[in-house]
Amino acid sequence: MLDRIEFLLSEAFVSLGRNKWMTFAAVTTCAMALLLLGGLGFAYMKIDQFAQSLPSKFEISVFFRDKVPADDAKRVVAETLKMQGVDSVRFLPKDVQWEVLKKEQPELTQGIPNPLPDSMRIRLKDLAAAPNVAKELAKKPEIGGENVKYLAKEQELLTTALGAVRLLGLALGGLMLITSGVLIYNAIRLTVVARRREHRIMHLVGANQATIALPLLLEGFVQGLLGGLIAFFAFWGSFAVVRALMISTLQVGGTEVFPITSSLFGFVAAGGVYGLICSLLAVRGKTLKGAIG
Amino acid sequence: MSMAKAENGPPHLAFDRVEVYYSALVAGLKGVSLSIERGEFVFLCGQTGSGKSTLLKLITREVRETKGQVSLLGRDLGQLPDREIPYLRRQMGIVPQDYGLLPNKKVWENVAYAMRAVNRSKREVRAKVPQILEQVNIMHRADAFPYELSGGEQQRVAIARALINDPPLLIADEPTGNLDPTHSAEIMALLSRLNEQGTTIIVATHDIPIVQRLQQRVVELEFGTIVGDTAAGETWSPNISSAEYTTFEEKETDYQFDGEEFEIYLEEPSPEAAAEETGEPTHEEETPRA
Repeated sequence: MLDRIEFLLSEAFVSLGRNKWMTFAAVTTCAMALLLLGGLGFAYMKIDQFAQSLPSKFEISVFFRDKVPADDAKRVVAETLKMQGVDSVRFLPKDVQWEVLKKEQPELTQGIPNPLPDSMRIRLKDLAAAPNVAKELAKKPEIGGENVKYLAKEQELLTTALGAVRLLGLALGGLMLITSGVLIYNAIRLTVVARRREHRIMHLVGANQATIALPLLLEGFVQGLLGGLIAFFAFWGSFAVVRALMISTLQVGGTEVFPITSSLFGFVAAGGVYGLICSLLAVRGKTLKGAIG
Repeated sequence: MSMAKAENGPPHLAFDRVEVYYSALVAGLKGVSLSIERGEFVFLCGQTGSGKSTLLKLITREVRETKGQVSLLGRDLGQLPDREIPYLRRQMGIVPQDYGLLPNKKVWENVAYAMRAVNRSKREVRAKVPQILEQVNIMHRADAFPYELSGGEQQRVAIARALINDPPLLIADEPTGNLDPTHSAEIMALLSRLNEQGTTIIVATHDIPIVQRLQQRVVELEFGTIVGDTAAGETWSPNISSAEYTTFEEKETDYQFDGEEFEIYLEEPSPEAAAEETGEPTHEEETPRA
């Protein structure tokens, strides 16, 4: 068994050594593709996390129309709580608000009737739900469109930023991934051509398909694996640089910890699997059914 | 003459009304029926395109018959699943016309590599390679690269490689096609010796003098059909123009063939023959093959 593994490994590494430049091109392109996909994926995840934390900072303020009965206001509060994306609703009766204001600004409030409407403050679980919640509330006769206030522009900006990062990651990463796939495929095809004599001998003496195909699959796997490893180190370096920049310029981000284990495993596994898939595509047909005559 | 023919059981190879069509218009074989017994030595003769190679490819399952049946020891090769083809090929030794040696590997490495490819351990390789090289009389060149060998020596290495699985059947495609008469004789002597040890030998060849000299069974093909089947021991003469077969000019001279003297016809003596006449060694004088 060990003998067989040694033979298969030696066959795979002979090929890697023979096609040095093609291997180099395939490995580096694969690394760049994984770095782009992984790096931008990580950036997307971080922005998304930030966006998730924003609803606690952003509140939708809703003001009831004059003379809305207390029961109707309570019903609206109950309905709002059931809306998708809503985390909590705080009802603020106008009398309570007026009492607070009178204590804070006694001179300003002296001798005038309470001008404040009943209101509520809505916190969201999902910032993306804000437009829908606002739209639904604006339809209610107890409230009216002009009485719903929230940070629509900020929310829109964040959504656009997330979309752009996602699109950029998918477009650039996808393109690089296809390029690296073609390069790995070509490297394996070159190996098939370079090793046609050996493959012919193998067919001639009755080597089974696994003996012929495994070194080729192993070669693609190793190329992907190396690409993943390089991508991991590049990503680690980029993370350290970005973190240092954020600390020095924005004084934020110092608590971020680089996820070494999950990143290493993710990049290496993704690279290995991708290399294996590309080499599987390359090792078909004639390679395994080669002519011997 | 075959020495080890088996008397019982199915024939080693049987072709029953076999047809092979590569396309609607291109036929490889047209209704060939043939039986080859275990331990037989059979020459397949015929001009290029006669169907010799197709017949060999049917045995190695490089092609599948369009009609009819090809059997190896009673087993229908047409029904053999693709995954079992490697195991079929381990039951035969295949010697290609161009030797198929790996140029960057030494003689012993060529044989060892083939053994490793069929999952033999290093220990088995160490034990068996010298034995096989001795068997084909090439041990003295074990550390040479193929380009340092003569055509005959390269052919011996190819035969050595074909013997790694101890095959009961050896198939050689034009084994003397690239060789001068001296080396052709050496190779045929080697094949005869293997046949005497019980191996069934099938040789596709154009080499009329060799075929006539050995007096083994000759199956002659033309346009995909068998046009002659001469039994061993009978004198064979080609059914079709010998010009189609001739691979070298004709002039009478004497050669030693496996201890038995015989004649090959040449226009002029080859440099090797000339060297032999003057008593000089021939191996060192041969131009190395690139």
